[in-house]
Amino acid sequence: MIWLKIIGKIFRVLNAEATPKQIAGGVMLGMIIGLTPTFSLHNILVVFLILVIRVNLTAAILSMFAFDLIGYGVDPLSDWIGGAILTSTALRPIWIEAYNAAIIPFTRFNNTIVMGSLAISLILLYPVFHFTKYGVERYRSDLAAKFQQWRIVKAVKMSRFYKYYQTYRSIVG
Amino acid sequence: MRWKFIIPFLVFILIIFTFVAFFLDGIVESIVEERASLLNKAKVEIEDLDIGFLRPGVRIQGLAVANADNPWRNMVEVGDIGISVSVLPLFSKRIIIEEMVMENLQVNTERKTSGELPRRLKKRLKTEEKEERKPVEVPCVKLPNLDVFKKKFDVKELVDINQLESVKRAKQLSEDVSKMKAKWESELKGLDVKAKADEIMTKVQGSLESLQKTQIKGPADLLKLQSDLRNLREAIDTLKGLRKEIETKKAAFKKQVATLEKSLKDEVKKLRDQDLQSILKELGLEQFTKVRLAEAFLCPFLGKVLNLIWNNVDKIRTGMPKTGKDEPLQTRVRAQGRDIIFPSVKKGPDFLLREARLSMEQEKWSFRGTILGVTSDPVSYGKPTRVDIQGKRPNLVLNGILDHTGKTPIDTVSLDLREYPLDGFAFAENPLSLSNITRGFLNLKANIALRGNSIDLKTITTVKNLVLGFSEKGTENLMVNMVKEAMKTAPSLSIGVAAKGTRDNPQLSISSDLDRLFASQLKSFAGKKVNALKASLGRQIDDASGKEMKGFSDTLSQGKLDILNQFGSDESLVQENIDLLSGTVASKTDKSKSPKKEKEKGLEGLVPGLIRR
Repeated sequence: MIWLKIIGKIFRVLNAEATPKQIAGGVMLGMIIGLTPTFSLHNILVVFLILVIRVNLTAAILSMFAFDLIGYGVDPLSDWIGGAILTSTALRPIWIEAYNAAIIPFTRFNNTIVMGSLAISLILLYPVFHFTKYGVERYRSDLAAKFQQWRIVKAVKMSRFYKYYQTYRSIVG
Repeated sequence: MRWKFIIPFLVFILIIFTFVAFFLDGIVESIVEERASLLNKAKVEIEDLDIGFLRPGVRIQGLAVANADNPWRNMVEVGDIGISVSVLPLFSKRIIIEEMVMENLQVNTERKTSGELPRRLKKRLKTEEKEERKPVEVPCVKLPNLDVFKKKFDVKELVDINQLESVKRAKQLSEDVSKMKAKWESELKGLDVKAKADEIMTKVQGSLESLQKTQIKGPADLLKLQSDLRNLREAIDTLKGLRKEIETKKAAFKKQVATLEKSLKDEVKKLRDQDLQSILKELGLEQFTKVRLAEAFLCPFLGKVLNLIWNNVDKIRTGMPKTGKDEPLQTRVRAQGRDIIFPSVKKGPDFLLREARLSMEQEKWSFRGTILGVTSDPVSYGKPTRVDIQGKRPNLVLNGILDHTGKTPIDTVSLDLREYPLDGFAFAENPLSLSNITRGFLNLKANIALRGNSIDLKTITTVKNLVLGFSEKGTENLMVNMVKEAMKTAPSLSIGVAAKGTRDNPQLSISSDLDRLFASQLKSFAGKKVNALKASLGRQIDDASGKEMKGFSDTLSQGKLDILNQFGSDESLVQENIDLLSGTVASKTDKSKSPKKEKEKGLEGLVPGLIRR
């Protein structure tokens, strides 16, 4: 049931009034929270950004959960990348400065997984934004009509759960 | 801007702050209690903990630190602790305590509940326990055991006589002699004198017979005679060589026997003396003439004191390590990742307690003091930690400087304690059966300097108007009775203790006027008895090893005789052959006594028959 709910959410986002840029922005910011350890200081800033700027909230939440799962898988890679960045001789003066500065140490930037996953999410920032935006645009222009004809979509729409969900949406608005 | 999201977000933040303001105290209190209990290995309890935000700091009331060795007593109890903290460094993960005031400090107070760790924390303690350093071992002397004089003494009751080293060695000596004999028999066999002599004699047998029978009738006989004589002379030389070889070996044998006899006897004698010493040591009588009563009594206690000093120094040095800016990066494993620890620079240490003031008012204790500059990074702070405590009850001055700013940590502490009443002081179990001090005043001056791993400790203790209490256990002990007698005439005594060396190899020296007083008493009481005991012990050991030594002497004499006989028969055999050959040669050359004449006469002189014809 939960999977149907998630799939339903995804399609709701894709078909929503939100622009492809807003959806892509939500996915992009959700990715940062998902990939990096959740309880890190920089994530408060990301959450604040999601709430303040006009990005799609549902997309951000879905992206956060999706990338959280991926994040566990890439932890060894994050550890390796973070270790390489933090022990780099060239960057050492910067890290020492940051380590001794106010507040920055609370971001746990000196942890290999925090630094590595943040680096990975920063690298993926633009590609994720671009491909999500492109994907949503393509979906809306070419795939949306065809997609409605898919048997699985019809099956979902015929299901009792979907009817309940539609009723719930009409009440909540 | 989505104001409909920002307002709930701000409300959420406000709720969090309210929660922290209300519940943070309790959370921190339980965390501090738990961590401190694990460190202390017994309960650490706090009545109330307040975190101040307007005037940043912490106030702790009713801190009770239970004694891990006696959970029904508190090691320390503090009524009120006020801590004021600098705010800005907190944002850089640095804790700078500007001032800490500890009031109503009390030690060794009674508890209403047990201070043992709860089961949950005990389990955690087991997993967190670290390997402790090997304790300092101090070699101590024993008090003489005079109770051995109470009954007739028999060495067999103390030790298994057959296990004494001298007896074991004496048993082994006969075996050594048999081995030596076998070795020499084999040497003689290798020399094989009879075969060699027979071979020589067989070679010259023809010449010998020819010389004995042949008459010289012509020049051919003369030449034959010359050749035979030459053969015999060569054989004589070979036999003489053989005789010399036998003589050399015989001399070596005699020398070895003499050396063996002496060295083995000396060895057994030495072992006998060692056995005697070890038995006396068992009895605690080996240092009888130089009794070190104070050292024997105080040494185990000083061992504990040295361990206490080193353990606390270890804790201080671990907490206040020497750090440098060029040290390699450290890592700490955290979840699946690692925390890279960068050096602290510019802004000083991560932890600094600038000043702590403490005061204590108890029935027996009343003092005030300050502790300055406790820090996690003495190098970057650049100043040593100072401790100054002054007491009224007792009258004491304690000064300490813990300097960890250089290459080698140097910790120095000096203590001057005066007129401290010792009434009621209870002794732990001790060889003198002392139970408590009924009356007495203590004056103590102590200086201790610890440089790296080396220690230099000097203390002078004077006890005045001393009256000691003894337990019932020691009434039958002669030593205890003697101490009691000695103490009657010694209302005051002084003890000097010095400890030097390293933590692995401490050297103690303890001197006391009690020793002088006691030594003369001891000598007059038991001097003769100890000497008689030594003589008796010596006799008993000699008796035990004597049998074996006699067996050894008999075996040695017999072995010596056997080998010398063999040498003798070999020598005789060779000598007989030399005599036989020399006789023959002499008889044939008898008529030519002067070589000059022989030369003048030529062949005529040698063989007159030839000329005559």
